Amino acid sequence: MEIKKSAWSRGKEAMKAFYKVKLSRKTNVITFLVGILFTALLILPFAILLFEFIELYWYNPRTMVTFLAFAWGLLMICNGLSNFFTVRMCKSMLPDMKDLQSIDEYLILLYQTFNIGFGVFIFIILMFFGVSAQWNIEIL
Amino acid sequence: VKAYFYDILKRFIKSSLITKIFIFLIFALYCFILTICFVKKDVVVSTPGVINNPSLSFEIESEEETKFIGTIGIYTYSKVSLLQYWLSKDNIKFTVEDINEDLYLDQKEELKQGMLMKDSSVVSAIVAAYKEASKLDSNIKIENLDTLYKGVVVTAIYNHADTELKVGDVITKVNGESFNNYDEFRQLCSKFALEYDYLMFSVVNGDKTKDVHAKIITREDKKSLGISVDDTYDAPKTTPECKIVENYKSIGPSGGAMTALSIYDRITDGDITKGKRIVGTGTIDINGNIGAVGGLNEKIVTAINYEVDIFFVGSYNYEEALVSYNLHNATFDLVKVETFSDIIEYLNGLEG
Repeated sequence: MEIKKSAWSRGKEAMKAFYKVKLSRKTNVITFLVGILFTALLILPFAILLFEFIELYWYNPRTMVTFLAFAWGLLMICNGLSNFFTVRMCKSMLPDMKDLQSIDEYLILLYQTFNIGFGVFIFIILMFFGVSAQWNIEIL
Repeated sequence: VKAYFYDILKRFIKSSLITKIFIFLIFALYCFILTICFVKKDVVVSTPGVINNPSLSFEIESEEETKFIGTIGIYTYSKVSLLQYWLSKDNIKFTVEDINEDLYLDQKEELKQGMLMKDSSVVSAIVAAYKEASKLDSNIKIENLDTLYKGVVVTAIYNHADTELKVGDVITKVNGESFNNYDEFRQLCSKFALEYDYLMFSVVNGDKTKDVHAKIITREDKKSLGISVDDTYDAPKTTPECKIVENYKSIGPSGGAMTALSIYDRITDGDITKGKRIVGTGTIDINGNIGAVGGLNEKIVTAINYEVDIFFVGSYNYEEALVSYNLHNATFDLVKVETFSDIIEYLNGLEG
């Protein structure tokens, strides 16, 4: 009996398939940079919204935890979106490459948004900054 | 990139009506968020802040442990975004005020003003604390008390001012006449303003001494120079030695009274706090008089957040503080004081 793989697992496989596709250095660099740029443009208002909200409630000690949680979520979404845009753009630039065209970028978006390794890495980084910031706050 | 955009456009044209509406709504939301984050409103929002440790502003060799004596700092934001304005306007913990363009300072100017005022405040606190402590112990003294006064320091220059004065200049004379404190300086300015259109100030900045003119501005029947000044002093030579430490984690003069209390606690024996968590707000002069400050509502909320036991407030601000105290159902002791001696008297009266 065939067990249907989850969308996340299929996204992981799609990501592996994308890494196997041989792209020129120029294409790699352009798609990577534009992917990040598009992600930044898309996320920018939400990041500013978060910053302005947090700034106003900074006096509340619980705000730091809220900020770190939202920042973690936004960075996970950024990871998903930047990979999505990179793959999507590669597909638009190289319409004749069959291996590439068969990759589903939406599965990659899902996989990278919930990428456990990246999530843990970002969590550690944010915890480091969070703890440093707490130490900087003068407490009697 | 061109190919990508062309691809997106093609997919958008081919998409169903529902998808098109959905994309349009997402785009509208995107624009809306950008608008409310970037459009500024001409108001100042004050929010509760943090309790700062005044003992970081001085160094005294003492075996006394640092107690919980705190100054209360609040956060202020000028020209906030629409989003921040909407979040603040109905929040009883915040205060929203229109910007007074005549007295508006940008962030850098405000910071400089706060630092200069804090410098003066720390010296006043040292003098007030040592004077009070010398009542208990004659070995505690200030050697250069009579020569401490330097003049008034210019802490801010507002947009409508017409003067060559600079922030940080120390004014020592007005039209050739000396003065001994801020009140005398004001009286001299008022006296000469009746006769002249310009005042001449003798000014010291670093090693340089010069004469500088300032025009008297008449706005809505009120005469002003368009500057803000504060008393300034030399560093006091004290026994035991007290070194001033530049600590600008908190700025402004409103921590003066609590800085004095923290110094007093370090140079006298015993625990003046009796183990209580003590905060307060109020400027202090070298005679120990406690002056008016702003942001009482936010300071009361900050004190609640830090679960303090006693909150000292100057008599000028007591009524305002009491309104906020009742509004937020605070439970600490709100104590009205007029002088630094009142604070010491109250704490000495506490049961240990």
